[in-house]
Amino acid sequence: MNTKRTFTQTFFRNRTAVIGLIGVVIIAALGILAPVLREYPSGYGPDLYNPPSAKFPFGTDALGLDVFAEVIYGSRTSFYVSLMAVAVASLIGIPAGLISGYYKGWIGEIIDSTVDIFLTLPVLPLMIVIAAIVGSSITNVAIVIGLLAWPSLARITRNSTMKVTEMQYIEAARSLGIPSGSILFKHIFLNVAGPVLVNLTLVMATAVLSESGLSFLGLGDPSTWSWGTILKKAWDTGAVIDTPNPWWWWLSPSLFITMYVVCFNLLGTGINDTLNPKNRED
Amino acid sequence: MEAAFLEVKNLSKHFPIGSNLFGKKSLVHAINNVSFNLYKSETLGIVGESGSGKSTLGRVILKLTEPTAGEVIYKGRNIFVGSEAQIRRDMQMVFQDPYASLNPRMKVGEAIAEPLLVHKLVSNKKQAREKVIDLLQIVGLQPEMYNNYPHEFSGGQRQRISIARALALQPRLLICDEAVSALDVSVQAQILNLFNKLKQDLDLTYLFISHDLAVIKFISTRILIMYLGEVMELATTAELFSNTLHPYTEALISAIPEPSTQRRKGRIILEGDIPSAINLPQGCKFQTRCFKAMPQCKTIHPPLLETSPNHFVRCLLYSEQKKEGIE
Amino acid sequence: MTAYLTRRFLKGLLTIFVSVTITFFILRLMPADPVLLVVDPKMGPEVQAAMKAKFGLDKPIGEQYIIFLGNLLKGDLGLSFKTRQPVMDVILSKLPWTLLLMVIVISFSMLVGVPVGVLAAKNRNKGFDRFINTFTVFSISIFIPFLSFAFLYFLAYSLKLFPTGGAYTPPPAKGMDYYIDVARHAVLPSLTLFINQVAAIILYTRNSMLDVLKEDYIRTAYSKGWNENYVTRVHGLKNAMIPTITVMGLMICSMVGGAVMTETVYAWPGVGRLIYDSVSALDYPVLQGAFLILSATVVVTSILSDLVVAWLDPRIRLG
Repeated sequence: MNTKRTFTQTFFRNRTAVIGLIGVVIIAALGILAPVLREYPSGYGPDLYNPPSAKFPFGTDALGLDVFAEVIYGSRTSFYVSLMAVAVASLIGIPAGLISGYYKGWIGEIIDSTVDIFLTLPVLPLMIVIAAIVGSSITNVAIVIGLLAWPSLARITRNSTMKVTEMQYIEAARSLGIPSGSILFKHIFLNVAGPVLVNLTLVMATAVLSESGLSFLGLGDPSTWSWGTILKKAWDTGAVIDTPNPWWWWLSPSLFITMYVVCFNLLGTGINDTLNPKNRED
Repeated sequence: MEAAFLEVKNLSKHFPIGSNLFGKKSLVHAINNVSFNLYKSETLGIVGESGSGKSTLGRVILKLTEPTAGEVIYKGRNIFVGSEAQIRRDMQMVFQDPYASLNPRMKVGEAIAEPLLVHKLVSNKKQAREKVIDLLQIVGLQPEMYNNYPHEFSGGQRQRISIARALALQPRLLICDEAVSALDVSVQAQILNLFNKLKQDLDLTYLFISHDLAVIKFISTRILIMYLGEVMELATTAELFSNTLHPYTEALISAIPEPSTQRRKGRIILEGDIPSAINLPQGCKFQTRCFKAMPQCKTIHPPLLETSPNHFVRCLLYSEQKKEGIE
Repeated sequence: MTAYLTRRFLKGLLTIFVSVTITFFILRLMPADPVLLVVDPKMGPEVQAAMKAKFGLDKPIGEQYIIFLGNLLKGDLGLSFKTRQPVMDVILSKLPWTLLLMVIVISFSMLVGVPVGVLAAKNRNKGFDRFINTFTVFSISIFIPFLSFAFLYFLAYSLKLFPTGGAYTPPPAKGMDYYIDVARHAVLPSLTLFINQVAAIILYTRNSMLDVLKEDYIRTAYSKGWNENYVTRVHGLKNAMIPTITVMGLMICSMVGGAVMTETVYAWPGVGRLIYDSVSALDYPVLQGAFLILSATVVVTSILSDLVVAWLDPRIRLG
């Protein structure tokens, strides 16, 4: 009997995957430890526009608040929004993809056409329109992002499902009289979970880009700290082209956004590579 | 004459594929008007090249796909009418590809246990596990293998696992679709011997599908030759080899590799192209490649005739000696 | 082929119809009463009633929908709540600016992206390719406001090379000076969008090129002794172009979102900025109209690119 290396072993040999994972863990840790590290920023502070120092590693903003505190509380928002969006998108998208991939008839066609339509529409403008209406609580924003993310998740799930449905072990399950529901949600799901998981990491990444975008445009939740709202405040006070320039104010949230997105992308690529070592020709 | 275990009557299966400019669909005629009886405790070998329809035949009998026409009579009724629960219990299939017929993400033991639990042959997981261990041992594997995944096994072991899974529901008929074709020759021999042993121990009936006549010769009691979806010849193994009637069968037999140089006879090479299964030729389907073709073979479609007891052949060469025929 | 075209066209129509319906009903579901936005409480009741009638807000919702659809077909998108001007006029005055930006970005993305992608494919895994890989990962992930801020800070603020916003420095100059002024203002927004979009073209070209180069007919050409460049150019590129055209179509779709962010930061007077302004001003007819125009543009573009691909790819053309 020969045993292949387990998923974890292969994963940790992949440099990009590990870098991605470390980045994500750092941001998550900062978020989780935020109440321990800093007080929740609110009100005013005495030191306006301070450059980075030992006391304020990321400097202070126009209200004298600690930018570092704003950023680490912002990472809680980012994770909250991403995870909510992933949950909403998965609840709708994964079953939709499984069903439309397995059943060839009209139901599959309808689901797929719906997915097509939503994939064609411009996402950010639609998000803006919906967010403008449903209001700006952070949960609403997260749900809206999830609702616009399910079509691409459904598409990926459907494509993987279609491939797996053709496999002989699915035919074998049918000949053994295993009911369709079990086949779909156990046999097929176990085998598409890989590519779907990869897509979920991408959803995590784009969710934060979307939330930051919406917050920056003023559609976010003004009462929670998020990287997008920090940037909006900086922008509104003209911080980017101000003299003297409080570059630290807009630089750190931006770097955190970039790090979050890049690391989840790397994580996704890493998981993908781990699952398909044959496809890694590069 | 013994009553048949399974009667296949006039079975046809056509697949629509694509559509040309006018939206008309082309049909692949996978099987056409196939009829034969299967008797208890025999091993009926079904031989044919790719495209002969043998795999489709297996799948239709197992109700994995609906036939275009015809019936299969089992236990006094047509299996295509009514529910399939009983069929699933009594007939099972062992598939060709040992690497694709087991779910890579399921433990082997759980894969075998699943049908037991689904059909409520056991009342809890503990009982299922005991039964699975029994089955593993019947096919020659160790109980410890329960918790392993398919990729940890060799091809031959995986086929044994597939066989164990197929036997879980205690079927009476096992359809083996190219079950040894993907294995190394030495492993093939082991698995074929396993099949024979299981047949004796568990009183099974086999429908053994293969393109390899040597394998079929070894394991079958009767052999059915298929070409382009039709039955060309049907006889007991001994009769088929000693009294070969159909030219296609002759060509197949001559192609079996023969180790001894003294007994090597001239190999018949078939010339001509295999006709497309979409546009079947008129008359005899084999005449485009037949080395004994006569002018009338192009236009007259030969019926399947019983030229001697239990020996059926579909060829105009024997139509003059007509007895009772099955059309 | 005609069957394919008809299906494609119908799907496009359905998509536009869906976006129309969504915007209509969503905007009617607003927590705020749309009537209040149009009607000033200080107005007398007859004036209020007249205003309501003018905007059609006094009829039941089903009827409003039908009227809305009818007006759409006539090109009437309603009146802006804020300026009382026809929405269509407002949008049409902004649309050319957005199109200008898109044309610049697409052209440069193709001009730069395709050769870079080809080069990366030919130098698989060597230095250049690895650099491109890292570059694309970052440029796709980057938050557009961040990129804009960086450009604004370094190029506009520190080095004072480019203006910080707008499409031109008012008052608008005349003749050639005007064009130069606009061009100067267009550099940073186009550059920002370009960085964001070119990665897609590079990756697509690179991967198509890799796939095509691996194909047997390329090996056949090499073994016939043909010059490597010729083979790459003639055989490889032609087939790699097909997905590239698809990508160009996709680019327009994804650029729409990026354009909203870019125009907002740079105060570029296009449809994207219009969306931002209308959200701030709660000017819902304009928001709705802008969204519709964008959706229609995207749908039409994707149909066109599908048609071009279908024409180029003999496998689809001949059915």
